[in-house]
Amino acid sequence: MRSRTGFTGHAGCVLALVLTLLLAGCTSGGSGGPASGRITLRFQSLAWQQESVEANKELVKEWNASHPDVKVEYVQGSWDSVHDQLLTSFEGGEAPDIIHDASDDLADFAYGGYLADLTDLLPQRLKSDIPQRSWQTATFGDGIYGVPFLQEPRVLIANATWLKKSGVRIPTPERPWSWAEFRQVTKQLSGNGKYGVAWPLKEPVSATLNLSLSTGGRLFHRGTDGKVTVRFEAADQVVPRTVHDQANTDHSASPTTLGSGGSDTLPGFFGGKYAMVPLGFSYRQQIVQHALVQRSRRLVIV
Amino acid sequence: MRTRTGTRVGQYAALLAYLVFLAFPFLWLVSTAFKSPRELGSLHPTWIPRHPTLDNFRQAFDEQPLLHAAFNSLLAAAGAAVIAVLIATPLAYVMARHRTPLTRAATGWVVVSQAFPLVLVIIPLFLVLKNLRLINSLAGLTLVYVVWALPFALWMLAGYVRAVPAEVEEAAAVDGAGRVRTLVSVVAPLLAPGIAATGLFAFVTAWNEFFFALVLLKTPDRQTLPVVLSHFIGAEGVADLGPLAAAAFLATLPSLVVFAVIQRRITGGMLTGAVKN
Repeated sequence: MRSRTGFTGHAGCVLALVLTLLLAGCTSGGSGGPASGRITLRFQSLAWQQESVEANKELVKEWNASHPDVKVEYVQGSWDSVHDQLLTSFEGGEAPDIIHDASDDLADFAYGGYLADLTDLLPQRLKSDIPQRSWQTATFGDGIYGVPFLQEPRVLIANATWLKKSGVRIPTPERPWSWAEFRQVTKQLSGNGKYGVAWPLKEPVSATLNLSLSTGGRLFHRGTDGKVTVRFEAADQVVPRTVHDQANTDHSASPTTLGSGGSDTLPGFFGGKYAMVPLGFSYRQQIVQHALVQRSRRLVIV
Repeated sequence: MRTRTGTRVGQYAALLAYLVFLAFPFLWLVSTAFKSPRELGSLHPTWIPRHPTLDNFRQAFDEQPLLHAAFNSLLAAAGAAVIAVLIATPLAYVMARHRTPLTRAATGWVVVSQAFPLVLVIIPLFLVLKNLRLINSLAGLTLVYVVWALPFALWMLAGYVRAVPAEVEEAAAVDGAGRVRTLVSVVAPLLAPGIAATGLFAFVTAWNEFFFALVLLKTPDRQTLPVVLSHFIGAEGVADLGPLAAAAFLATLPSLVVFAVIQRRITGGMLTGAVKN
């Protein structure tokens, strides 16, 4: 009955962001070799919100002040097309020395031999500071190819007033909703042109694959010979079937948002059309910003 | 007469609908640029902001080096437009006036070359530019934009050259003009709208281009406007919508201004009355 696992308590439902060193960065001394008297490492950051950009720049500044022999140069990257940009840079031998990326994007690069195996470089304190499950997101084959520094859980942003008024059970970390219960709850919350949930599935692969981990789904199975097979088994079907049934059978999920991005669902959520919206945690800034303006509405992140 | 009036009304209605269709994204962009975060999150969006604000513009300028990036874009785009036109004009003349199997094959190749996807060429291109030491250089990026714009510019200009009646050149020759004089004083002025349109096409293509600039430019001081605009977008498409719209609106202005200035020249009908049938 793995499909009954609540989806709030599973470490798989996250987008893990990692910092990693490239192979070239470790073996050749980075962009500026020792011949120049000072090693220069280029660090490509994907931070984009003003506060996190400033924090990253501040860290680089601190490092440069305390390490006169190894200078780090901050390079502002972009989430848009980052995979293609890095791939081209790797192939052309001009990649940054340290990169910031999502862990699911790193698999290709790690298996392709572009990244340095950090296993023997990681201090024990750092290893113990980060949970083992997080390290797994940066472990490919026998090597560790990145340092997980941020996990972005998929969360349900919910209209607390609406949920409490309807009398549905509010989930807790100890007793999360099962997928079956979630479907039932959204059905109960719907009616009169309002929906229990709005699924933004513009990029459906990441959302469904990650959420399917909560039901034991794997989809990709690597055999002992290293070959990967794709199997859409019962555990993989729970999430897509729930979304399908909510949208088509129960009419408890808005059919119009299925092709939308996360931001597109927010006006409907703020306008009281949807009770819940499953989003990445990085939407919190937008939501908090809006919630501060609309003080009357209480939001809860499930 | 009634039918003609009806047809005319229908034509204008269709034209108006088409204009609205084309203008919709831009008008929405302008509207978004002046909205507060609260209005941006409203379930019932309005065309005209209820409480217009310049905060998005202020935030955009505070967070990103928009002016410097715009200057980089201007250098690359203007350079690409001028060079592409200089190369394409004589080539297009030859392709249009001397119809041989070679020119026909060249025209075919120009059309086929447009079908290559960007990702197919980016890695080899990167390696070539690296060998030429043109990575992280606006000169290298300009070169790429010239090569990228050239096939279409050539094809477009060849069409304009074909539209210049050969009789005009023959008349100039009869009047005693030499080959060079004919090209410079007769053909070139007639081609001016085509050259302007082609240059504009090359400029706008380069001005808006994102992927080459992202891959080829490494340091922040070289980045062009589209790359800097992408910094307002985070993982999984989360966007800082207000500042992004404000910056994108400003980024669109140069193209609009250039279009507005040379639009009359493009549609002026320079050839009207050139030849009597």
